[in-house]
Amino acid sequence: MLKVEELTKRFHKKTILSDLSFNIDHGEIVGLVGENGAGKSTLLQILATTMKPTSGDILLDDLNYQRDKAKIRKEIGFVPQDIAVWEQLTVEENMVFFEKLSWKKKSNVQLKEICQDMKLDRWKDPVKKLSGGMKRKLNLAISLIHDPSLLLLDEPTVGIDLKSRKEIGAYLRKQATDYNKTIIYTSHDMDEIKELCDRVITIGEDSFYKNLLQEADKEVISF
Amino acid sequence: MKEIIYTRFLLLKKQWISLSCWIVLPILIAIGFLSTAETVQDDFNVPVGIVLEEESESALALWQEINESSLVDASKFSEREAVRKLEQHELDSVFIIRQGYEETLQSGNRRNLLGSYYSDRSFAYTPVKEMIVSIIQQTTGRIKAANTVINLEMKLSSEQDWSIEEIIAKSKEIQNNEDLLNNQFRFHGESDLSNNSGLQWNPWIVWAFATMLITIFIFDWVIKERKAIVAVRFPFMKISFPAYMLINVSIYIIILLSIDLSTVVIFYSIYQETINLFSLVSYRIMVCLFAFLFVNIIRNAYFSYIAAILWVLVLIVISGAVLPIGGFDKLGSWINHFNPLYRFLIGEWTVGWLAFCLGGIAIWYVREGKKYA
Ligand SMILES: Nc1ncnc2c1ncn2[C@@H]1O[C@H](COP(=O)(O)OP(=O)(O)OP(=O)(O)O)[C@@H](O)[C@H]1O
Ligand SMILES: [Mg+2]
Repeated sequence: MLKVEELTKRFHKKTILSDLSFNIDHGEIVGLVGENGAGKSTLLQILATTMKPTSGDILLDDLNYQRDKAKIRKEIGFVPQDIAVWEQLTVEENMVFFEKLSWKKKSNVQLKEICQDMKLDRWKDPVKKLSGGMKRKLNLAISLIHDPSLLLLDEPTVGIDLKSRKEIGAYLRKQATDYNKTIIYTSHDMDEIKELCDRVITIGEDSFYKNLLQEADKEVISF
Repeated sequence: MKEIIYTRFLLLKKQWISLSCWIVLPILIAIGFLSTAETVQDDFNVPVGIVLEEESESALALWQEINESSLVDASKFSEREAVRKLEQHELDSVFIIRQGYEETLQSGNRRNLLGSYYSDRSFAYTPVKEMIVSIIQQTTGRIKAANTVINLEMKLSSEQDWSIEEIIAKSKEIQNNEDLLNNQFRFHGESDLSNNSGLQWNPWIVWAFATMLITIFIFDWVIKERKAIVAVRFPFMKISFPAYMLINVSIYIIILLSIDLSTVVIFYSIYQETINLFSLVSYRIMVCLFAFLFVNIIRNAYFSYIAAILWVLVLIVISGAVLPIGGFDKLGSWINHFNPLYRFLIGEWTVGWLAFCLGGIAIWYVREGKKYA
């Protein structure tokens, strides 16, 4: 279980996140929603250990974010908002590249399976020739190489067509249900959020998203 | 380590053609520069006119020696014609071997042997004059030695009776064998009058400058890989981003060092130039670390190319104190300590700058480590 207690983040006196507390269970998919600049990426980076909160405690099962950072990092699959892949390499080379540096050894067959599971089949093509949707899928696939138990995805489906979006959604649902993974992800697409998420966290002053989602009978935690 | 080498080769595979071109470029620049320098030097002989007022053996011998020098392109003229050509700037300067040259020489006197004409555009007058004077000094030296021997002989009333000519011939023979009477004159540290070989450029000197420049160019991978957003993935991998970078720097050092070893073989086979391997290895490591720090400070590929070119130009200028390229010899020796090429150019280990770069790398590592912690 991911347990967040009284989390606050300030940049030079400007408070972005104030006093967030929530729990997320294994196998749950939680949406993170808010207007631009609300602090979604900031929260994901804190949950990914790459940014320190100003105050507050975070626990992943019995691991403490302040004490057990190295162990926690092995459990995290972080999908950055910007596509972080080698443009000049092929899909296969990208997967092999990051597998070599990853905590877990995977065979080429296993790596290929990860891609096929999310319908990324252009195995031998250089990334620069792929569509935006394909690149997003690869961006996600790379983050899954080391079998993380907590997936943090920052707008994984932005700018891609409905079909690829559904494929990624189906893949995430399978990861949560079949492999008991905890998934937190941000999106500006409310249809997607409504369809995929078990619960939603909204952040920011504006209650627009909160009302929208509550009308659709979603369980919303609001900060 | 094995894994990182593997990942590096995944990336290098995509650019191996351009990389190999860059890697061999310093060798090609050195070879190209040396062959152009030779041609330019062949073309660039100072035209001087020689007027022979007497055709004695000594005068002709002097003419012969001037003519053999690679520095000048000497021709014989009458005095009037020579002066006319000087006025038309077809000749740099004119030297007259005076009537009575041989006689004055034999008497051991060195005055009034030569006359000369020059103009305000005679830029090579002084070095040519020095060269001719040094040839005459050699000759008078021999005659002096011969006279000394004759005097000695007379004093010892030896039975052998040598003529001056025999003794001069003997002294020349001794000079050839043992270099005894040789007062070789070098002028401006370039030209060795005894073999007239002219300016000697060492390919390693040219290579050193080219390597400094090209290595910075090659290290633009650092800028590109910092820009590639992939760095955000490293907190979740088994190696940190700074460690990954440093191991890659070592991989580059090893690749470049192995090329340098073939450069040693190439320069030896073309120019018979040898080099101190420790000097080469320490220079290469220093240059790689320097290039790494350099691109980490500049952070923009195009600016780094421009800055690298400017930097190497500065190095060429401040190296003028060490090299036969003229320049700033008056800057004195203190500037040599700031010149990263200095130790290599004088054939020593590059110690100070290597330590300086290692210190820079350590600071970089600590700072980066904090950033990605
Ligand atoms: N390192 C930083 N220093 C100062 N301010 C920052 C820093 N990082 C983010 N911010 C500020 O924090 C706020 C939240 O940024 P964040 O990127 O988390 O928003 P977001 O919800 O992800 O927005 P978007 O929907 O545009 O991705 C913004 O106002 C941003 O300017
Ligand atoms: Mg964001």
